[in-house]
Amino acid sequence: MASSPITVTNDPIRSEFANDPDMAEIVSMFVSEMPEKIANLNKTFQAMQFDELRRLAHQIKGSSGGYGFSELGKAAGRLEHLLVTHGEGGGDGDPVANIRREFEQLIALCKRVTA
Amino acid sequence: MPSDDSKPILLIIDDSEDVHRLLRARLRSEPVELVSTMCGKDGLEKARAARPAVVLLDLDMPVMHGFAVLRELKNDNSLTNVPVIVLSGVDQAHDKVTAFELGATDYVTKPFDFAELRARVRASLRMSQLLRLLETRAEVDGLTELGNRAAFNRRWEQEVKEQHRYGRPLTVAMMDADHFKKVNDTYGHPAGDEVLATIAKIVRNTCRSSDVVCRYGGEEFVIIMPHTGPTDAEAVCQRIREAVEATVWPRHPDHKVTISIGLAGTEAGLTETTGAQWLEAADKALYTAKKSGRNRVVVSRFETRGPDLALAS
Repeated sequence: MASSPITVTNDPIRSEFANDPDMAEIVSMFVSEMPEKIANLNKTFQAMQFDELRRLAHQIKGSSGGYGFSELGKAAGRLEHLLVTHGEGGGDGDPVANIRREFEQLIALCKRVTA
Repeated sequence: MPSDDSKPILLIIDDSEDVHRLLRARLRSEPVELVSTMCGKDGLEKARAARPAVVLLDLDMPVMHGFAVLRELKNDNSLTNVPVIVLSGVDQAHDKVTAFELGATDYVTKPFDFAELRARVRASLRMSQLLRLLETRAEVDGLTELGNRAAFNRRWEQEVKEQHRYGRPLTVAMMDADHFKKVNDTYGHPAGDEVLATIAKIVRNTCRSSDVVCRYGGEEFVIIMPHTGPTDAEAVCQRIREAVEATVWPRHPDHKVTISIGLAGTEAGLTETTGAQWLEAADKALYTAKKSGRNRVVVSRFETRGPDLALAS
């Protein structure tokens, strides 16, 4: 998979469901728990626990879109894909460097998420 | 749909709390009760206890993968017909094929489109409702409204398993209307049907609510008496026999109808008697009752030595 350009903006990302009264409460919960998710992702990445990292990315991919953060879900999907390929012994160039790049991009997006 | 106090249960098995919250928010207005769990093993226990109408099942879970959960759900006789919608982050044909081959009803990929997910949940709820209706209809005897042979077989298997596990008392009674053919031949089939429906009513009214009464076939009935040893069961059966004998039949007031009953049972204690051996013993006791003059109850008790015939009436 082609690597995507690093996003440099720090603009906050708002939920696509920001105006949905049914969703307001759980979207703000999702956002308030983001620092915990980021810490967990960082810890897992630093320990090179790639299978656990794949599972976390898989969960973010599956849920983010539902909370109105589809961009985040797509980034998590790209990271998951790289980790699956790496786990199967594949990947182009320097797989760990590619994983790091996607990982950093995901973290950057996570930090921009706001209710 | 059932009334509000018995909403169908939707069991959600997914290892992500984020997904549970989303589903609770998005399915809030659906007429279902949501039961959630993050773990496949716990999901199986909850399914066995709560009898859900539909299961939403994630695949990628630690400890127990969704496919393993699905396999167990489908191998459990009491859950095999519960529709399962697989929720997956993986949109790959081979996973979908595996899910359907294992018995899933539907497959939805994450992130969900919630209008679609709601529509799919509703479709599975409709299917669940129809399957339950079919199960009920398929196990009811039209004439007597008792459970039929299929209902009996299902319950009997469960009760024998329970007996083997806990060693509780258990008795089964086989009963047969004496000279029933004569009623049909002399007074016609409507009179015969009336006899069968009335015997069914007497048996039901005389038995305790914990007893399971089924029509075994033709003019034969069977009663499963859980937690009941042959001595207590015999007393109940004697009352049934007397009530049938005392009935005055509007279509043939001068023609009495009697029944013969064969019992096989055990007081508390473990047995290794199989369900089939148990029925065979009850059938032999019934045969003995017929041979020794009809209108009587014969008891076969399982002790440590095996069935032992004793004339009781």
